[in-house]
Amino acid sequence: MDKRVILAVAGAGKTYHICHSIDPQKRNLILAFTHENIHNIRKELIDAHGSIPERTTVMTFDSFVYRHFICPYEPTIADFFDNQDFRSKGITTVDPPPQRIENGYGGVVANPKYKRKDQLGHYITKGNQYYCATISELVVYVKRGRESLIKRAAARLNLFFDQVLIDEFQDFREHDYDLIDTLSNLLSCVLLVGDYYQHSVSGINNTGRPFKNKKADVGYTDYVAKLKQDNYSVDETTLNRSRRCPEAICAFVREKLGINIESTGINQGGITWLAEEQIDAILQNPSIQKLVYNSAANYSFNAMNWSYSKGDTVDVACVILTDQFEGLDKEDFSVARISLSTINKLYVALTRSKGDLYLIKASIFKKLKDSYTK
Amino acid sequence: MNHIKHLIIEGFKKFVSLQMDFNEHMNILVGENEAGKSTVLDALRTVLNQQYRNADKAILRDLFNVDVVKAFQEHPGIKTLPRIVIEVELELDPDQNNAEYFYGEVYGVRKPQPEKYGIRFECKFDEEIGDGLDEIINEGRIPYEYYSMTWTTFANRPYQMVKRPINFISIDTTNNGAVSSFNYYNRTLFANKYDESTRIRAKNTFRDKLDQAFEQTGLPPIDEKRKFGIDGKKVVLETVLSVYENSIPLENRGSGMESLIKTKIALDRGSGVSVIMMEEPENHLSFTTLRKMLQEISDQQETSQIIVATHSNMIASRLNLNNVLWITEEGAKSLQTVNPKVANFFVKADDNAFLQLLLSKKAILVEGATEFLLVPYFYQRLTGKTIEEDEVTVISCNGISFHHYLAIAKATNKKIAVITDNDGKQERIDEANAFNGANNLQHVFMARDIQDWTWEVCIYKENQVLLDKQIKVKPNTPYLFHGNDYGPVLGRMLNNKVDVAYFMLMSSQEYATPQYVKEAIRWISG
Repeated sequence: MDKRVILAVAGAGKTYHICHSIDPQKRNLILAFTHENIHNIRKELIDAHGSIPERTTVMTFDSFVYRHFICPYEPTIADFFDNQDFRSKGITTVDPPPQRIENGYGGVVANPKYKRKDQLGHYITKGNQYYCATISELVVYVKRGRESLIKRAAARLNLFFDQVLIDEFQDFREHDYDLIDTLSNLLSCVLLVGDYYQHSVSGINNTGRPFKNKKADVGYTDYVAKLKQDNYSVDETTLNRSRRCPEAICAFVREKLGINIESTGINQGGITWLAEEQIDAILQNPSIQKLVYNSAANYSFNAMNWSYSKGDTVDVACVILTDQFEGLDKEDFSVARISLSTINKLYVALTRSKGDLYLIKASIFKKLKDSYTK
Repeated sequence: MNHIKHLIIEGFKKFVSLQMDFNEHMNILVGENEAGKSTVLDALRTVLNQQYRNADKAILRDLFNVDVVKAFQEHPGIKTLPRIVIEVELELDPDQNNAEYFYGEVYGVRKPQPEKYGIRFECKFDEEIGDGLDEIINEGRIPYEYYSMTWTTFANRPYQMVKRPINFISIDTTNNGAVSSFNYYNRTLFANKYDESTRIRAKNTFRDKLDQAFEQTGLPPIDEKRKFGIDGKKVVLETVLSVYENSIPLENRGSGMESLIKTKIALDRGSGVSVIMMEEPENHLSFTTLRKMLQEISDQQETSQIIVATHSNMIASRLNLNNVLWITEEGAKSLQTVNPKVANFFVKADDNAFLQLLLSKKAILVEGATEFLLVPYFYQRLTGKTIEEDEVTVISCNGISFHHYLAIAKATNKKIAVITDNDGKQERIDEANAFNGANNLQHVFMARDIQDWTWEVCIYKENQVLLDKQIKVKPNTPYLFHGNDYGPVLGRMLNNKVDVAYFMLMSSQEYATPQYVKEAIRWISG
């Protein structure tokens, strides 16, 4: 059994590493969280091998769960819920009814449409479609004693794939994470690649396992310790230097956000704090990517939300800060009171540029904001 | 090796239900006309090639099993509506691309069960689109238009031909000259021979050049706004392809040659075909061409799975009768249990009647042509019925030891009477008695006295007066048989066995039946 984690920093080339390190003769299954990731992986595979190697499959995690755990074992699922006549009609991205709803008077009450997890209705619509949101939960839930759906599906995966690779694995939460956790122990070869500090950046799944323990955030050291305890061999060196970010940016991130990121020194660039009169020229320059905390679409300049920029590389970036980071330029700046999720989002924004990085304080931007709002 | 392992049919054409295993390499489907050989081949095509996918629903009339339809009409209702299920279980190499797509537990009766590779075809009334048709259905009418056909893999994923797990080609010689069958063959070969990117490149280039060629004709436009152009939909490369051999298209060769060449190409390892299906390859083939083709087939049997439906003794025995799958209305029976030595014997003995034996209900095995001519006559005299009426087949062993035939008969539980000579040897009589004591379904009959050593002797003994009168002999001629003197009439009979038998049959005299022949006929007709 080969169970590995590579912890990477922003711009270290996770996707590049995955795509170049695979043996194109082997049967590789590469999984990622979003379609955007998938697109990048496909592109990188083509760069690395001329085309997507015939025996390599790339798919989103949701497709993976549906095709390899749900479809081939529907009779087992039906039998588990004692509903032998169940025939599914595909899968839907519609969300299942929430457990609690607002009662219209400001209170929160139990939702009568909610189905408990021990009922098939928790996982399928009335029209017999699986809820995409609960397929991992379903897979984890179907087990009898030592016989589990995951175990059977893992044996099936081992039959057809030599290696399973999961990109951006810090994005997997809750049941998805539990599924990966259990599955990793059963697969003959699995490699997880991710950046701890980019967790909780994507819009969904921002809370919970494995980055929360009770209510407390799980810090980097604890996280690595947990992985080792789960018998992963943890590689913190292969991808610890950013190919994208110049040293000036990496040093800034290290100092201000306490995130250990080094630069390979391939790219050059510096950090510039913009004064009020400099701003307009930067905002009007379409070749500089502007990064705002949220509501990017409301601005007349080319802007993108911090969290959406994950995975992107730009030539020059300009990050517009929020109130919390007003003191970012001060010697005594501290992240102590800022949520991990927000820090990680800023980390993502700061590490997009492969050249210069401009910073605008919230206090300065607010004065001019109206003239750039659509 | 990738191959078809098992087939399940419910409610399709000849079968209410059928389950059959396939051999990894050679499969010879034999059976009476209409027993369901073609149904088996058609079922495979329906599943693997998605035959009928785009056909008008009216075709369902021909696809439903008549008994299933009858049962519905006797008790009409949604629950009893005819439906078709065909499942093909495959053996696939897990290393092969797409193998995973076919592997799961979604087959047969749905329940948690071991994973298998396969494809499932289902044709059933779609209750959703057919909502509110209860009245029509309860009148006993089948709402064909509201039926849906689905192809899914055992992993519960939709099956499409592009994801075909095995390369499968069907060579049909029954439908000779039909253009469509040829196009199908050409297209399959084209798809199997070249990978997708090569095919697409060829198709693109073809289309480009075609447009260019048309441009170069310099055809003036129709008017200011309109001109002629090539409609890409009308000229698709696959539909205009033919296989050329020495610059003669295959379609233009004689139909016998055509099947031979088709088979040859399919069998060629480079063609990428792993399952080859042939329906009655004996059609349109001369004896020597057939033998040539059989040689090709048996040389290749290790690298492909071959499924042949045939009526020909020669095909069935040449390709080894251990590989025979005998199709009856009750199901398929494999002859795998027949002793391989016996099977090998029939491979060598071209001129045998093993299929007649297999396809008969009851049989009388006789030594040669003489008995073959006269036994039916005695049968009718004794029972008052013809052998055809009683469905008894008389088979002449022609020098093949009847023991070989009995070995096959045993494997198929057939009632067989053997009428043979004791050759003047007591041990043969003893042996036959022992055999009859040990076997209920097969009995050996011969004269009980070693004096009555052969058929003619027994016939002469029973009908001496009549035969002495009928059979002319020249005076002072010895009529020795193998140097022995048996008297002139018997001597002549022994020396001219078949002529005498024919003469007896044609004369309208009544002949007495030797005792052991009587016993044999009573036993077989009883």
